[in-house]
Amino acid sequence: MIETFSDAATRSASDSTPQAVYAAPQMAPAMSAAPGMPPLNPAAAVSIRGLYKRFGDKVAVNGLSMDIPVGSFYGLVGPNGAGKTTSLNMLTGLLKPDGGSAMVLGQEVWANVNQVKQAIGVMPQTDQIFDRLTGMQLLIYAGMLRGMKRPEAMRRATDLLAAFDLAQAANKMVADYSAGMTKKICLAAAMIHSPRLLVLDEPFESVDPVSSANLKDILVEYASTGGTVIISSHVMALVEKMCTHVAVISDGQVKAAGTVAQVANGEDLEDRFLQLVGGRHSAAHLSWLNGGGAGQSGNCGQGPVPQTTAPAMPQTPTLAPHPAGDSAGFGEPR
Amino acid sequence: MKTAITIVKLRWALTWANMRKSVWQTIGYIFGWLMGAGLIALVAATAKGINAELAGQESARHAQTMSLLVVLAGSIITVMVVIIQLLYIGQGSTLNTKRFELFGIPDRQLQLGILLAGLSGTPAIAGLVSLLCWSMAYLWLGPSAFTFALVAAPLCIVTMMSIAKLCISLASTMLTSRRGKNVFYILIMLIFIAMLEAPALIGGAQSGPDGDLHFDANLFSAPSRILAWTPLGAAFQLPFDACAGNWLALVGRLLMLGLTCLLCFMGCTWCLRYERLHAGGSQRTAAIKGIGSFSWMPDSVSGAISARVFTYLRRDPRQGMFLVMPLLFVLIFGFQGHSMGSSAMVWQSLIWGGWFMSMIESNGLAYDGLGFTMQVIMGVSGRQDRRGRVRVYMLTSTAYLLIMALALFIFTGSWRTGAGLEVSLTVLGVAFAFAFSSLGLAEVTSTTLMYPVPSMDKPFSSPQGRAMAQGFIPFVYMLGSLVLVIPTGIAAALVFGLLGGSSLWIIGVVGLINGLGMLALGTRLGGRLLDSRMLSIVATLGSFAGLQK
Repeated sequence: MIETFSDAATRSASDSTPQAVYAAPQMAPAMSAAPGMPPLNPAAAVSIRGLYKRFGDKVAVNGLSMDIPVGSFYGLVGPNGAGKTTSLNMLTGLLKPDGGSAMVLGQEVWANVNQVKQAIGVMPQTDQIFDRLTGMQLLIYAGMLRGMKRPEAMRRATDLLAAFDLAQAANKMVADYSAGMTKKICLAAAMIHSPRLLVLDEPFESVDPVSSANLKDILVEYASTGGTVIISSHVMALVEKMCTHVAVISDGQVKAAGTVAQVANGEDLEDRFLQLVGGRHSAAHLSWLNGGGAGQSGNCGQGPVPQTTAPAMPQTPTLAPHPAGDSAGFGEPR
Repeated sequence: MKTAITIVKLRWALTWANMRKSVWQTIGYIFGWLMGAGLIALVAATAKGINAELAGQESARHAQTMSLLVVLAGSIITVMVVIIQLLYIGQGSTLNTKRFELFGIPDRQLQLGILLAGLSGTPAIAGLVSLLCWSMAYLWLGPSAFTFALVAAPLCIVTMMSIAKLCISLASTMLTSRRGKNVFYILIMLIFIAMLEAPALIGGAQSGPDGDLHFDANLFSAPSRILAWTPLGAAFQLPFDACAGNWLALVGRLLMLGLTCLLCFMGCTWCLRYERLHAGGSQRTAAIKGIGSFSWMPDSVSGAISARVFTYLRRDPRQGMFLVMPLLFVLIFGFQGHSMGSSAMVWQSLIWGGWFMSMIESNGLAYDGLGFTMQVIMGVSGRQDRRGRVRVYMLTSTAYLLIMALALFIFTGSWRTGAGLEVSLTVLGVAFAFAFSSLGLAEVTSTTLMYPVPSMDKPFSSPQGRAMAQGFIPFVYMLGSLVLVIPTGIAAALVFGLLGGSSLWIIGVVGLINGLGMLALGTRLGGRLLDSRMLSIVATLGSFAGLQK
């Protein structure tokens, strides 16, 4: 395994110092990297060192470093605004970092950015495609943009439409597709040139469970043939089930990274995630938010709701207190 | 009423918030207010001047002529206001009714709020004050005319706003298919352009072979009388009814205006209800046979881009519009030439058509929208992109100009004489100079001078901050194109100065070479600029997309 999970990653998350955890491979030749960082690892599918990006006063990514092994199914998880999408954009050449460096499939991203882009498959967002093309046209377009010859692009487009259950909608404009269908055609567009690395941002959002299961099968099969998949997601169950590796990102830094088992550290991955990123607190107990219960004042503060109109409701459920009795509630260090 | 007032307050709260958010928005609003103030001052000065000119003169004859002109002009203004509302404000503006769906506001209250919010805006206030000032133009007709001019002013604004709101509501409710929306958009645009050209066309029709204008009031009296009995012109006739003591007609017109506003309000409310009850209904979708231009464009990266651009030219109403414009020029100049007895005049439509044809492409990436990101994700170079785009626009404009030239050859009979043939081919050469040079420039400006455009889904909506940019940036394209054809201009000056106008063909040949040279230069430069600005262009497109929501 290329990536070695440092002790720091398994250290308790109660350590407030953010941890940038990355492999420090000894086998790699010296490549350019941020000062004081180990060199970039050309044997990894993705190697990042000290990636830094600031938007005005807000530091979106703060010295992010990690290696993603070839053939892994890698999950990037983190709360909203953690820097996941910014990091993915920087390593796929869609955003220039303010500092640090990234290498994809042995090529430094910003040395020849178009070459890197053509080698990988990035799933466009649903608003980043030309939706007045039909599904078939969009896939042929994606294939030809990757330099494929038209007959081959057509053949693969037909295969992908069938595999993604979109054959019936092949000749309809993508603008007329449902949200789930649009997601699927975006994913297909990223895969048509059979890239060695797939980068998918929330790939299963809006996709129905049946299609989602079919897509997962395709991705797992792809990874089993040596392809590397990076997905960013909020759905911890999905990451736990599908991914071989996971990195928890918060405040623009890697809080923990490694195999799913290593990061979970014997706990449920979601609980572990909450410990690492923090921010959980007990229910706010808003006195006016009462669900119309008996004797409660609601209805925009316009007086008590008549008893006859308010059926007996169970007590508003609240989250159980933390076992440790910490008043700060969930997610706090044990 | 409380809800309606809250909506009006919301409108102004959003206006102030927009101003705080962006300096350009603030400049835009200030510019709008200055324009409004300028309009008021202009109207007031004109009204005062008219009153001073006509005071003490024989009132009956002048009042009749004045009523004829005022009703006609007022009706045209009303139609223009409705069309402008449809094209530039339309649905999708800040106070889109869909944004209130979750609040359960009764339809009538919501509609009243939207109407009042519209009436409280800068254009409505400026229009109202202008019309109130316009009342001064009736002072010479007596106090009754003046009083009813004051009454007519708010009635006029409310009627305009009501008709505009009804048209917007019906357009957004009834046009469910994409094709229907596209056709409607092009139709409205054509009417708008035709109305802008109306004064020139009427002037052409009214001018004799000597070119002098011979105004025939009788020609307009019938349409004016009819318009005075329609909601478009009725309010403008009220002061003249009062002046003539025609009280029955005055009451009739007042009732008609009131009924119009009521029916418009009911129509809008019905549209609200219809939309709510049919929300989420399946939009008609059509299957498209084959892969279209993807099957015959060159089998390369730039070929894929060409196929995509070509497909969009057919499916995007905003772009399709500019393919119709050259034809419109032919009709306008043909009509004018015919009335002046000169068939040669129509040939200049080729030059105008060539000049304006790449107007959309000069902001082409903004029309692509975030879809362009797909190209960036896939590592397409600027050179490939520009090649793909130029292929389509160059071939389209070449074919278009050649077909139009052929049609004009047949229509004007220029092919019959050697001189006619030479002049026609020279004009065609100059048209190519304009078409290709402006396309070359468009390939540069589209990477550097971008401005927001309405979304393809909502071509009748206006992104915030669009008006200012759209008002000025196209001038860079238009004036820049003129600069680029200077070599052709120099050739023309030499031919006329040194050769006394003989050997006109030289101008045509120089024009063609001039155009091709500028196109090659523009394509190359545009490609380089695109490579260096690719990521900032994507960021700009993202901000434009935010404005379209």
